[in-house]
Amino acid sequence: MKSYFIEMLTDQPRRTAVLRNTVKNKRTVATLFWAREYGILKWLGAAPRLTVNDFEQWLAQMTQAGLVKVDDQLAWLTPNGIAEKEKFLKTHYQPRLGDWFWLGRTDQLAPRVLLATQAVSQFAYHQNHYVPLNLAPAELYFVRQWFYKNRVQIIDNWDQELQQAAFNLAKLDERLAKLLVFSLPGYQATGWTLDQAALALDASTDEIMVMERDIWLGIGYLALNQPGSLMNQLLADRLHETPLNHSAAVTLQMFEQGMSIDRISQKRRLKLGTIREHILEAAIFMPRLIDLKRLIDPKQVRQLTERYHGVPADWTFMPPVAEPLTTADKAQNEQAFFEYRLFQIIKGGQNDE
Amino acid sequence: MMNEDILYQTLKQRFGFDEFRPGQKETIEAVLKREDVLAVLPTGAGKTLLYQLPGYLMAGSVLIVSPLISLMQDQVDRLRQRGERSVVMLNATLTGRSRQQVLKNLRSYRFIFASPEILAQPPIKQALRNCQISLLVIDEAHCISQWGPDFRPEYLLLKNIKKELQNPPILLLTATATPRVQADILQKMDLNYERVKKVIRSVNRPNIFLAVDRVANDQEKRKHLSQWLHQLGGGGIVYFSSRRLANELAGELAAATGFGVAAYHAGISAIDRFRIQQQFMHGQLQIVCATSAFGMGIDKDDIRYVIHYHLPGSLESYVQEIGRAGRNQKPALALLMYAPGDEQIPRQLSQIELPSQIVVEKVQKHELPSQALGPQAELIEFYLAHGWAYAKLYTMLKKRSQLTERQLGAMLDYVNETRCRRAKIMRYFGERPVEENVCCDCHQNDWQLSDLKLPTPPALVIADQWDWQKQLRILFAKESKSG
Repeated sequence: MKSYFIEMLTDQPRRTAVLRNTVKNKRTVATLFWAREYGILKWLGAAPRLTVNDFEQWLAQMTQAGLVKVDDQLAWLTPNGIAEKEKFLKTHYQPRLGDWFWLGRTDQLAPRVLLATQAVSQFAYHQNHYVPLNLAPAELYFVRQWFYKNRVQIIDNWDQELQQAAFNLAKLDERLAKLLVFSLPGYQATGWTLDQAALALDASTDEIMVMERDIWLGIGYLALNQPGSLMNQLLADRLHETPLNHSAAVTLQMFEQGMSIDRISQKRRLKLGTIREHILEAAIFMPRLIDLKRLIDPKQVRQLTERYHGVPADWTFMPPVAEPLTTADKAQNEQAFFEYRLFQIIKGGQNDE
Repeated sequence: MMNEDILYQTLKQRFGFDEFRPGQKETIEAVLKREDVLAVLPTGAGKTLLYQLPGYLMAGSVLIVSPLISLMQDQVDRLRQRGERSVVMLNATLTGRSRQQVLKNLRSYRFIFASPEILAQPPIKQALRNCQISLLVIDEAHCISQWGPDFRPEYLLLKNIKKELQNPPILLLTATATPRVQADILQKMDLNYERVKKVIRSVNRPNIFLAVDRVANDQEKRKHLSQWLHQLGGGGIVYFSSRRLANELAGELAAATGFGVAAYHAGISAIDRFRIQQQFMHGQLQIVCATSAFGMGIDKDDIRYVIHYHLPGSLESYVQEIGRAGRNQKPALALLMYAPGDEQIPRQLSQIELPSQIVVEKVQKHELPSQALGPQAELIEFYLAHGWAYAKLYTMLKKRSQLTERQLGAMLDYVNETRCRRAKIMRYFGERPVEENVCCDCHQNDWQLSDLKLPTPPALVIADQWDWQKQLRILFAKESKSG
């Protein structure tokens, strides 16, 4: 996966912590804001198990190879790095469905589909005695319940749903269909390992990982949009309908119903700061749903417009109280920062793809 | 006393065998009489049957304590393969909803596998006390002994568990234990040496030919390995001490030999490890380049050879690992590759540096992070948490380091042996040596592979055309593999 990180860099300095937190899915408003500014949201959660060390090592290697320059926690590509990135883009599989990053964690979706297929395939061959995939007991139990509930016609129905998924994936890239189907375990089949898939498809293991991410996001999308299907029953509790987490989605819903953020904070017994973060997160992912007028009055918008111009990513926040001493000062600065950030989000997103 | 007919009936019905292997019946009968048993049976002797069969004849649950998740997983898989679904694993990977669900229904499981660490947790102990534990099994019991190479301090916690579970009979299982280790296991478990039934079988595996390939350096070793595999074909395991090398050589050897070769180690995803094990068991993969994480509990009886690319740290480990070859009693090969200086790797791996007393005390007072204790922080912290004073810990680690050096010395003696490698192993385990017709390269220093009469390697699986539509039809029995 690490070889793909070069795609997150350009010749302009970018915050290394944002790149790292993006692939690790460490969501703070700052990370999300910058990730959107950099146009790298599609990589959100692409490498959840990456360690800081791994990332630093990668940066060091890239620097040593003369492809990247790092200064004060900012990194950018050298001319050689840019050439390398262009070459990489042409020679490596490019993610197609990364924009659906929010649908679910692929490491939670994949095992269920694999185990379900194994169970149905063994059933098709009338086999009761086999070693099921080694998933956690709750997952084994879940899939077993799914299987028994749908046992009538499950072979034909599951076969059809997988065919449909594979056909859709094949339209994007034939290799995705092959990778999906040949990774499925079943009767006398264990499915390809990562290395075996790479060998069979003549791709690097990193490419296979990126393809796998597309596959499971694609399947998640199908599942979400086919209520009642076997795939939906199998994955629904692991799928998200919006990029927001549950709490932020509740806040947004209340906001859409007309409640002010103060009221939401009181009603939900959550700090005002938390509610503000929910709103900012919603503004990043779904800017059209946020009615700016309800949060910042026209006079303030005018002031902000006068104060901040140019590329939003280059702005620097100017607090109204330069040296806040009282609680009221701090509260005023916090409110101003919220308005500033919101304005910045609405005006920004130039690189968002 | 259990009727013998019932034993044979259960053996046939549940396991599909007509006869017991040496040592099995004796052990099972003792267990059913509620005796405490120490069983030292070589790899491949069918140790899992020793508790699985009584599990079907005793009321309640069998609790099996196992040191490694991979080993537990293997045993659980095998039980499930036989259609047994009443089996559960208690270890650190069990969390959240799964954990709650399992603990609530613990008494409904026939076989409960647990890591020694988890047994120290009060909620787990409580859940176990609510069960009827009919038999307590300690797998890989040599881990209890500080004189054994795989000593695990968590195993010292097991002493009390027997009492806490209302004294069920205990079955201690191991494949390799010198007489000293056997005595130490029983002492550490607070068991009376005289009162425990001991079922001990020879470590000797007569069908395995023992050989050492001495090479000048790593480059030559790589070349030799590729040549050996070319000649040997599939159905073998190559052991490495490093994940990186296992990965690297798996790729190289696959390209050089055309065989299906896969790397297997703890760094590979759980699902891929499952795939590799299953492919290897079913002959879809010819060679596995593995670390010691692979093979514990691998129930494949036609492994034709085991090659060690790196020197293991002890004869105990070596005998255990080569014991995976030739379980079908057909000729098999155990080849150890050795280049001068190879002993440095196990030496480094087994070294435990104890930091100064000041550092240790600061860690205890939380003035320093536990990482300050070095790479063996976990082990050191375990002892500190259990009230060991610095001086005692220092003496113990020093003794251990002398011991591991002696064990490595025995391993090197095996490499340098000129008279008989089999005799060397048997003497080490306190047995009277025997000689086999096809014994080792000391007797036949001009040996050829053809002399060993190894069984024919499994045929190579021809690669498919990767037609995904056809594959889906095959998965759901709508088309046969042949077309």
